[in-house]
Amino acid sequence: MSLLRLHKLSKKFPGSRVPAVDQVSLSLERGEILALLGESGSGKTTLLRMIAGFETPTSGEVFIDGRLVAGNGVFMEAERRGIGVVFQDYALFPHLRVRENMEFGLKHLPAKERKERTEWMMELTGTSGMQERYPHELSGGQKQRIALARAMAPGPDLILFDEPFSSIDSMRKNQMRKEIKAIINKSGTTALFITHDTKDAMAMADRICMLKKGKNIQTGTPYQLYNTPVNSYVASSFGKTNLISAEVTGGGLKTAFGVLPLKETKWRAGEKVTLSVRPESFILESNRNGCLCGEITDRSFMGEFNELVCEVPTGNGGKEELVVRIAPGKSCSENQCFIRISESMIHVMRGNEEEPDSARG
Amino acid sequence: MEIRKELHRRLRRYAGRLKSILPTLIITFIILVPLLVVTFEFTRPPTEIWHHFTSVLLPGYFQNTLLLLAGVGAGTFIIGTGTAWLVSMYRFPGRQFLAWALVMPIAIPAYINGYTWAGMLDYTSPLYTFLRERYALDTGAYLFFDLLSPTGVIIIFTLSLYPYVYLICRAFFMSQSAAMLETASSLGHSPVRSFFRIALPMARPAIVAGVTLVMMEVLNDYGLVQYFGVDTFTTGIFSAWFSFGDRSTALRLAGWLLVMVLALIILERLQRGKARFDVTGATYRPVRRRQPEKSRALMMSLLCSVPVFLGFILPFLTLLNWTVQTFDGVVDFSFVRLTANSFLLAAGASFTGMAVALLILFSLRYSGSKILYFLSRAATMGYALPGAVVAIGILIPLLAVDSLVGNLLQQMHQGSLRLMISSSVFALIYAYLVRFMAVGYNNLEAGYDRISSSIDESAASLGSSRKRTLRELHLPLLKGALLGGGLLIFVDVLKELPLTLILRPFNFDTLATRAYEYASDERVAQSAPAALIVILTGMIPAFFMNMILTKTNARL
Repeated sequence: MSLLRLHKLSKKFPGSRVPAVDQVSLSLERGEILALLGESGSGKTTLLRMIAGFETPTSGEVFIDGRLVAGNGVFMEAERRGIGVVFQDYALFPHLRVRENMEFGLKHLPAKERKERTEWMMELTGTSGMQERYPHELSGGQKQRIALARAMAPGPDLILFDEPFSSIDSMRKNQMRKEIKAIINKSGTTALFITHDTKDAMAMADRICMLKKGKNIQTGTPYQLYNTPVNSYVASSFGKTNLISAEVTGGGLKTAFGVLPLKETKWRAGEKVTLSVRPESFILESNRNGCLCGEITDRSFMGEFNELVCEVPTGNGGKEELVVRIAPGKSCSENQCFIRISESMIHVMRGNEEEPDSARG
Repeated sequence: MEIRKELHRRLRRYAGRLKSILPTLIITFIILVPLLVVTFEFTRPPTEIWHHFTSVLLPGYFQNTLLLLAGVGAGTFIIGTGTAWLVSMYRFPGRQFLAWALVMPIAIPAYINGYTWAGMLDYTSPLYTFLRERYALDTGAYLFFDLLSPTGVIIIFTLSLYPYVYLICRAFFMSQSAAMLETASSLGHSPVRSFFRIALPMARPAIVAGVTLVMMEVLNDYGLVQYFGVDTFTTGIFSAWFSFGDRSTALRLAGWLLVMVLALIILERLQRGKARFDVTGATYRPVRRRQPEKSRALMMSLLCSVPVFLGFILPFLTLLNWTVQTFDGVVDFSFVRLTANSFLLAAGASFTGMAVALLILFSLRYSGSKILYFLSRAATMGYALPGAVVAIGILIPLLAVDSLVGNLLQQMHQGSLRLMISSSVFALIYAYLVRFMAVGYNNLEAGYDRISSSIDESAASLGSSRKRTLRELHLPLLKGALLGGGLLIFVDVLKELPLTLILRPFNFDTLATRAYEYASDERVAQSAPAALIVILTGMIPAFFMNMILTKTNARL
């Protein structure tokens, strides 16, 4: 059984015309790490707050371990849900020592057990020796680890993270991601975190749920979202991509650059689709035979690859820009290149409309 | 069946929500009672005595009140903004001390300042005796002018109340960006021109707010205008109640006073418009103080010394002198008792006030109820209500309760038991709660604003009940705000005169009423010990205000 299940969960704030969260369904298995990914205003914070019990849903249900905790007239207060939360500002109690902060959620345990648990948590998070400090005596990273340790101390089944990396500088981010992931895995808890950073989501999460305007657009593994995005929004959220409009015909995909082969059978002839072609999906050729001939307008050396911006003439006499990445060893002439799209790496998506109705992962 | 279940569920949810905000709703309503009572009186037919008041006395009340408001408004504006500008913008000898000392007159209530000045300029006072003997000046003539006149009242009010404007302007001038004034000088404006063209217009909302506060104090006063023989609405309420015994007229006068207060509030809001007080941006840099030439610097020192000397040092020293002279005759066991009375009463009122403020703010934090929010705003209006209005608004309903309960008791016991809630310590505390709760409330609200909501939420996610969050997190974190707010209420209660005069139990005296009684008996010197205690207590928050100002300055 899923540890957390959301069923058509919605939240509409009074005075607002559009819902902040719109019919989101989602489930989370034990031991999984899930990222809620979205830009500001996508409803990810509201969704997290409804799971934690800080916000009441307008409609829909929240189940934890198969038990209804919100919706359908039921509302279980946050203090009874047993969900750990790590806040963006850490929310350490400023007047309490680290030890007292840690023990705050352990009031029901005898003193000896409290002490043991606290010590174990501090060991797990690498914060041993800070027991007697006050929060203002800690660095940002230490605060975050203490906040995590405090949330984990009561042994919750599920821990929620509110933008865990937003206040950590990019140099230390990588290390912090690894550390937190290791701590979560070691303790065997299930985690859900929200972020606006695709890199955070890809590095940390087993699965990602992409939100836009309160809707769940696609949920899947990082691999799925990167390689088989349901629409151009998801495709361009995960790194650079070339979006090419096309029409399905009997012989393949008709694009401005000619007809490309179509392997999938779910598309009907005449349908408008969008192709996502990642910059690394191009093959550099030495001659023009059957290739696209691009005029290089910009090139930048990025270390592991060269990135070229090419202007490629289209069938109707115009020009379109393509971003192409080639291995640094391969070279081409100063201002011209011959490229071919690797057929296996073309991803076909529903047409250019902003939000497809049936786009669910 | 499904509909009924849904209905049931909804009812239960509403009942749950109501239960959580009910105590707050009741308390806010209780606080609003005097306001409702006073307003309600307008719907009833007036009495004969009211007609007498309207035809004979009311025009005078209006005239005097408007004269005082205009005079005191202008006086405090000039002294308050002028001194604030000088200490913020220039260097001159004694600047640091004066910047601090200019706040001190706030510790002396206007009526005590009035008694002291009247005593100092009395025919038998040392000053006049000296002038008579040395220069053989005509006896019986006042040297300068008759202090006991509207002009005298305006001068005393100005000396006592200008710190309100000073404080608000000083904070504003401190926080204004230097860039603004530097731009002005780079465009060729002299500092004086910058003051009129830039600083004043920008500070206008702040200044008007300060002057409005001053005017409310003027409307609230009873002790000063009564002693100086200038009839206003407050003295009218007292004579309607104590001389004519007509509650309807007293209520109506209170109602008119209320109208004037509301008019002030509305005018203040209107002028403020969309303007905001704070202009501190990210690129804040404090103003560099200018060094004027020596003679001008000395002139500035002198200018800033005058209000401190006349408003604080002179009356304070005089009171000290009188206290020494009258100590043996005045300070006896009953004096100690009345001091204890005052302090206990003030402590009781500040405890109740802070407890109620905490209750309201705590339930506001957890409920998104709009009704509760508006009610809490209304409940903090009390600070704008003159003490006499609050007192009459509480006295009338409590008298009704008294006679109701008295009748019931009479029927049951056949005796003549009389209940006296209407003039009891309970009534006093209730009235102080209505009038002064807002002072503590604002302080506490600022304290609550500093506790991020994620603190509450993480406590909840760690399984803490709301009660526990209040006890273990809010209370320790709000300690400073609670003490600070409590102190402000404490001092206000200690100074309070008109409300206490109307509601105090028979033979019950506070420091304020004792000072008033001595002064009314033309024994001003004897009022000094009581006055001095009030002033010394009032100096504590004045010190704090200064500390906050300098701290803000240091931080910026």
